[in-house]
Amino acid sequence: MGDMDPAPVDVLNDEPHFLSEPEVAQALERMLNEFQRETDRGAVLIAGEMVSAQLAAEIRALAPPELRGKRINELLKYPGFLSSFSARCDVALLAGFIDASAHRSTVVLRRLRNDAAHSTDAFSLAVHRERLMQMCSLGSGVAASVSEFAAKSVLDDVVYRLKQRGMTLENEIGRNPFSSAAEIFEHLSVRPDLMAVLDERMPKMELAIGVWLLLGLIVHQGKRRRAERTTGDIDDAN
Amino acid sequence: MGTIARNGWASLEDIRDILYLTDARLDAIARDVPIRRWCECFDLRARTIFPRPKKSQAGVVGYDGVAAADVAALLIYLERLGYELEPLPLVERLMDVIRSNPYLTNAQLSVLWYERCRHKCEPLVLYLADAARPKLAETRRLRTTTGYTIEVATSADGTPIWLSASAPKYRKRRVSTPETCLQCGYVWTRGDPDSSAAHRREHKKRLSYLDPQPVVELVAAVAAGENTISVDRTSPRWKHREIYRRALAFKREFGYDFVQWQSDKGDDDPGAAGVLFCNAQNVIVGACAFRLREYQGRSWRALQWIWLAPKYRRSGILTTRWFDLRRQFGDFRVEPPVSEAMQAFLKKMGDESLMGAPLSSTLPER
Ligand SMILES: CC(C)(COP(=O)(O)OP(=O)(O)OC[C@H]1O[C@@H](n2cnc3c(N)ncnc32)[C@H](O)[C@@H]1OP(=O)(O)O)[C@@H](O)C(=O)NCCC(=O)NCCS
Ligand SMILES: [Zn+2]
Repeated sequence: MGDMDPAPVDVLNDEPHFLSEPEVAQALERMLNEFQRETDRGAVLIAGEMVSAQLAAEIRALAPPELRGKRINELLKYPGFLSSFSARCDVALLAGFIDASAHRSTVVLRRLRNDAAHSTDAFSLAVHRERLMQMCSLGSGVAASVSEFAAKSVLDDVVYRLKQRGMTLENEIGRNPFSSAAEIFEHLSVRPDLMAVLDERMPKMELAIGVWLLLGLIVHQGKRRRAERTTGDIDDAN
Repeated sequence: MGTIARNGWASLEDIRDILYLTDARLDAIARDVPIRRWCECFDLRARTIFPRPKKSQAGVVGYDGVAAADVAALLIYLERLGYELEPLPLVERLMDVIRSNPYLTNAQLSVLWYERCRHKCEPLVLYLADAARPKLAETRRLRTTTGYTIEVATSADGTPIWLSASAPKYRKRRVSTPETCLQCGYVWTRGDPDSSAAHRREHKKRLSYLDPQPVVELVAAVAAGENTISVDRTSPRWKHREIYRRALAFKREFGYDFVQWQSDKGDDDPGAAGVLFCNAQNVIVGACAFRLREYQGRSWRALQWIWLAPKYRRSGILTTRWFDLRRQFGDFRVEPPVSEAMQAFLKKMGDESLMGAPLSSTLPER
């Protein structure tokens, strides 16, 4: 795989703009909300659906005039030729809407989704951690950053909640055991049960962040393609 | 005294020497009454002791000795009878050891409390055994140089029948009446520091389930997204602590003999399934426990006990949880004896059948 790696991109730090696209930012919020309530299986299905829908949106936006409107909708709708996740993914690469790395990541996600959809017993993301990390490998070191960021988010979330709750706790039990982050970390450090719970939350958080990056990349590459076109062609947007 | 404390033992001769050096009257009596007999009067015992043999030595010669604390106790008793002597130097030398011992003999207790009780102890009474008791003719009172009041009852021929010695600073204690704490139900004695300390400790423990407050561990668990409801043998300690307290409360309220959760540290029954009832304020308002019962090759779930803090009862808590419990544990059996409240509850839910015998009517009662 090493020889196919794209030029290193520090996706998390260098290009904040493509993650702040409204649809991308909204997608993260949605995943954080929904994943919390979902099983691992449900979360993977939602993630697959979101990426597939985003690919459909890019294909629609970048379709040549000849295919616009009713025709493209037919193609994208079942049983149309572009109704499947895999077809959208391959066509997007073929047409140059996404690059090889986004494509590779999408393929990994698609396989993960298939496994989740067809698993009879409990599907656990932790078991598929390696593939999850492959999905997040959108540049060198990106997977590791996703992991780090996920851990931080999970912890920040707990710290935030405990700080909020701590203030009311003061009235109820006469003291606030969670008045500072240090106190919270100290409490967590002696609670292996909680650390285990936080660990369990990690894969879903990694999935959310990985998919967030992937969506950002897809949107970003689509935008760039459109920009290239408008500078070359007549602007025929409607 | 130093040698006695160091060796841990005194020979009968050593004791005679002490008496000789202190109160002249004691020395006089000691000539007539053997020291061994003195010890017996106060339930102290002489035993054969041996000096530590040297390496090359094959045998040793033993002699009668009295443990250092027993010697101190003897001195204390004699002082309580009004004799003039000074047990303090020996007491002080023995304190270090006695303070660190987890268990104490009667004599060691006397030493431990000596300074606190000196000259304040209850009257000491000595009397003849019943069989030999002659008719009482006269009682006399006298005061010793140490301020003790001695009362002696004698027969017509002057034989002492009983003797009581009262300490100069002895005050009859107020008769203390037991009191029941309205909040926690603990019975304690006002004016008795030990009893009131015990109440304070117990009060705090009992209020933790009678008037439960938010539980810090629960708050953190909720924030982290942990399952805060079920308790099994793999659950963290705090859950076992909390469920055990409720099992204890259940036992106390109904006067049963056993707490139906193994301990506040865990329960290793693989069939044990505890459930905590927590509210939105992270207060644990109650709990219950299911067990897996097996008999003649059949097995079923049984609700072993359920307990809600009194102030949360009859506010619909169990009603709202009932559906989930039924879904999770199926047609479990509510094990007898079933309280009136629970019978009323089951009736209201239309689930009285859960009180019946499960699967077959030949099942044994709990
Ligand atoms: C029995 C117990 C678990 C019930 O839980 P709860 O949350 O108080 O019950 P609910 O408020 O949901 O009661 C629902 C209905 O049950 C019936 N009920 C409950 N407790 C009752 C009582 N003490 N007397 C009469 N009816 C009662 C009522 O019909 C009630 O509806 P209503 O209040 O609208 O009249 C609880 O009261 C308790 O812990 N009691 C002490 C321990 C105990 O008895 N355990 C059972 C041992 S087998
Ligand atoms: Zn009390």
